[in-house]
Amino acid sequence: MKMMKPYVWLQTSDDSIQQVEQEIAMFCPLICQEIIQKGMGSSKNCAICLPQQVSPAMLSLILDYCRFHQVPGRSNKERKSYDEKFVRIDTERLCELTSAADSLQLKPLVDLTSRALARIIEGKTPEEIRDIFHLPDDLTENVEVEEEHVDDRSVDDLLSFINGNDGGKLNILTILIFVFT
Amino acid sequence: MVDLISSLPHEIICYVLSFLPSQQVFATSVLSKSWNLLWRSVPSLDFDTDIEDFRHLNHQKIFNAVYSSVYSFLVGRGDKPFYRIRLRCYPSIDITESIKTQIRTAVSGSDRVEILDLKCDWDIVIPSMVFSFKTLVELKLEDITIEDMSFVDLSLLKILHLKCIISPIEIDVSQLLFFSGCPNLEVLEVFEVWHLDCETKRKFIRLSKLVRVSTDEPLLPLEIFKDVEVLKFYYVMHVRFITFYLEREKSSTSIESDPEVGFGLGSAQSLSQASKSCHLDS
Repeated sequence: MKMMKPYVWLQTSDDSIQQVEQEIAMFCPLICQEIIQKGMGSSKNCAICLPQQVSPAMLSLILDYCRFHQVPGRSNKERKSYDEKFVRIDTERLCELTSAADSLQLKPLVDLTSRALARIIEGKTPEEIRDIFHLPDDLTENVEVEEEHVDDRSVDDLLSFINGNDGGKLNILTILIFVFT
Repeated sequence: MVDLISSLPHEIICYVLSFLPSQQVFATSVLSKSWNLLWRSVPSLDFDTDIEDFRHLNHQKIFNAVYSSVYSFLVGRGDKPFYRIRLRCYPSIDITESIKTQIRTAVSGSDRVEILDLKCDWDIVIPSMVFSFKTLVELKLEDITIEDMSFVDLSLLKILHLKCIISPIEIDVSQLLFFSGCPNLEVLEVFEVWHLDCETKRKFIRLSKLVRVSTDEPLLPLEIFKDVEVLKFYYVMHVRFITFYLEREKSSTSIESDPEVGFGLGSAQSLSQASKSCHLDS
């Protein structure tokens, strides 16, 4: 029988290669598949090539996450509070982390970071969301014109507006209802 | 500056948005051209007006506006299935047939739904197929009509709430609860279910994961609640009857009753005393 190798070789997006405890790395389904199905990662020459989204910094964050959750016997409360602190990072890194975790198919972490991103967006105006994520606003002009009328409208106006609507106007309708409620 | 979020895969952005209220998901369509149609692919419906702000208003026009926006949302989105459906509003006299049909179609078309939380109007009928949606983890139904619940196969279900339910035919909860209909149930709340019945003659399959029960329904046999951690009863029952079961329960079990009921079971402390005395008597 072949002995289990305690370490695995991983190559990150900047082409650097590093050695990682196999037990921890196996937490990521993508790495797990490479090892089991393709027999990769056993030496520096056949290092597992990680997806483009995984930079060395992200890999180190992800391994920290796996290392914590791999320890058996931790209470749910401990895990929850670790997770909470883990996603308290700036939005840019949070987006990168989400993308990296997704590329490694690490679902629990994708779930965690996605919820954190949702909390950032929640309750924000489109304007604020654009600022947070540096989104280019190629639609602003149309929107502002419509928003000026919002306060003058009564529920009945709104309703007739909604009922007599076609698909193309749905965006504007959203803002109206959003402001109204 | 680099656009941070748009570089994420389409599915991930939709997944992130699925945690937000639908009105805000809808509003993301004005962010930029690339986000214009994205909201349509978000697999969740979430309208919640069952909050304090709305209770004070209690205004039919507002409820109608909410139902209308639900309708516009569903129509604009097309018939892509949902993974999460939450619609909590108040009954409204003016819900049109087309709104009812849209909601019903959205529910029946989402057979991979994980969370289904509906509190809306007795005019809206939950189709029987919902009770065999295998992916359901959370099923909360309130102020709604159930078509038929005689076949139940919800192997992943953890949370079940049935409150103020109307049904044209008898609802036999024994089918739902005890004959392996939902073997992984953890939380159960049953209140004011019309036509409720419970066939107790057959042998039960114990719900081993059940930890929390609250009910106003005396028909539910206490035998199945033996191992739960928190029991809340909202009805009057003969103390000797219940203590019989208390003796066998784990010491961690706490029983609570609604103080507003007045004639309820009293505090957990007096119950455990009653339990001891009952034990001595026997």
